[in-house]
Amino acid sequence: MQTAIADYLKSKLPGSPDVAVANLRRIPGGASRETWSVDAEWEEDGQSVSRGFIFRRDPDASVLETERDIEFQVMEVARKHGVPVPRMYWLEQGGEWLERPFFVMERIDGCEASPTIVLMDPRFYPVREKIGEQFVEVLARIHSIDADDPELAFLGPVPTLESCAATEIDRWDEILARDALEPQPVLRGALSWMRRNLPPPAQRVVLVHADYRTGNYLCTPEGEIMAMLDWEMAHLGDPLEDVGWACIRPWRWMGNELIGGLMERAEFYRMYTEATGVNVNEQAVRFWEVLGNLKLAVIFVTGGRSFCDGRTHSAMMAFLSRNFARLELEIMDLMEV
Amino acid sequence: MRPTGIEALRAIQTALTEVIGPELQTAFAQDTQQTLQMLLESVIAEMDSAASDLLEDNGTLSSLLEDFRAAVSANANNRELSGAIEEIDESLARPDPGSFAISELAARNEELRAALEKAVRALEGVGDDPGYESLAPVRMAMYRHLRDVAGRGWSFWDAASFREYMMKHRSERTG
Repeated sequence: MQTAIADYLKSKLPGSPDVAVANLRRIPGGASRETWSVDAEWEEDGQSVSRGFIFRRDPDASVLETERDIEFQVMEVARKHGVPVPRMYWLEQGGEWLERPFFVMERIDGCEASPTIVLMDPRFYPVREKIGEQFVEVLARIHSIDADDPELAFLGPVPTLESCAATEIDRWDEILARDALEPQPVLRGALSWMRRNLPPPAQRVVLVHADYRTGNYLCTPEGEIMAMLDWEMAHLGDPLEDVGWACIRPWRWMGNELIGGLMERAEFYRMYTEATGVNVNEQAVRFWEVLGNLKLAVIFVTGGRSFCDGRTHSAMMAFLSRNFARLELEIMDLMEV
Repeated sequence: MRPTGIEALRAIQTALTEVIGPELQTAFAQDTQQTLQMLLESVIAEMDSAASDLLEDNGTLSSLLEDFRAAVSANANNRELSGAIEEIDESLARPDPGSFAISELAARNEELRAALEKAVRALEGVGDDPGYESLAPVRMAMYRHLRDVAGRGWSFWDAASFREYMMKHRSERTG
């Protein structure tokens, strides 16, 4: 693979230089796309240039089938709007270089993404409040991108203020119906419950990241969020969808009630409203938390389907699909049943 | 007694930790090793009690479905509710496997859970609409069972995001 990457970079870099590639390694996590890091070195205008690249390659099977071109384009738009994301370089839709489609982006060094490190490494303790503030600021920046922005036309029709929630219920209902391997009374019950407990209409329709959480940002030990990652589920919708997703228990990490392992819920709401002008309706967030937990469970179900269909032999897929019972507990708590 | 299935799986876990783990060079391989450990842990956690849990669950599910059928007879004009009854009748009419083989108990469990899924959806469809108050206790009993099932065993979440939650959940269960 290292040779193929060197050949690829040679074809893409200005002047087709000789490219030395080293330290190819697969980065753990990212169950929906393979993430590979590589160091490259070449000559440009008589100067030696070194750069780290990240290759995001389609997997043989995934916890969620997503379009890599959507992720690539959304990240480009987000970057133009000042959202911290890596610089996007190239998108390859075919398999001629690395057997499967992939895209290439900038590697940002000196940062951590793992919640275990960001929340539990003592180096990060003094900057936790700052990370929390930035967590809200970056979210507000994303939600400042209006759904009617012509650059987002590739995301499809803009939902109405009233239809955002129902659109997401339909999306996940459909995926569950397609991929379920066994009866899912809690998840199916929750889908029916959500249809009867829709939130108030969205206050505005914006770009929704849809996986905005601790674990998906790159952060320096000084507490700077340098990049928001994993945009593969991005779509147009209700900004409170991201607020609810950021709040769900799986992303609290520390085993307590702190949102994202960073801050009290009331503080998160206060800062978010201050930064966006969007009022945080608690009933709406509760709805989006039910949907968020369900969505995560359905993603795991999809991983199980890929495993059982023989499209992957990944232990991660087998493991995740056997481990969403706690999400069901949380869903039932939120439904108050 | 020779090593049990659980002891054999523990031996694999030990080998992964003590022999194979230290030899792994990349972060991705180490991460995969951790996933394997967790996968084994989740299997071990349900292995010993799998047959008795399924047997007990199948009894509880049958009883919940009977209760649902009795409660719904007063609301026979609701199409979704009466539609669920048809599936429940079919499930209850099938004989129990008469075997303690986990595969057979699990297959029976899946049939009963499919009927329960239908019932839960029908109940959520009417929600707390007037006229359906008599169904509320049945709905809550179904969710109580689903909570018992969902709170069992071991999950990787228990040591992290769900730590305090599961401590509370378990203390409530043990009274």
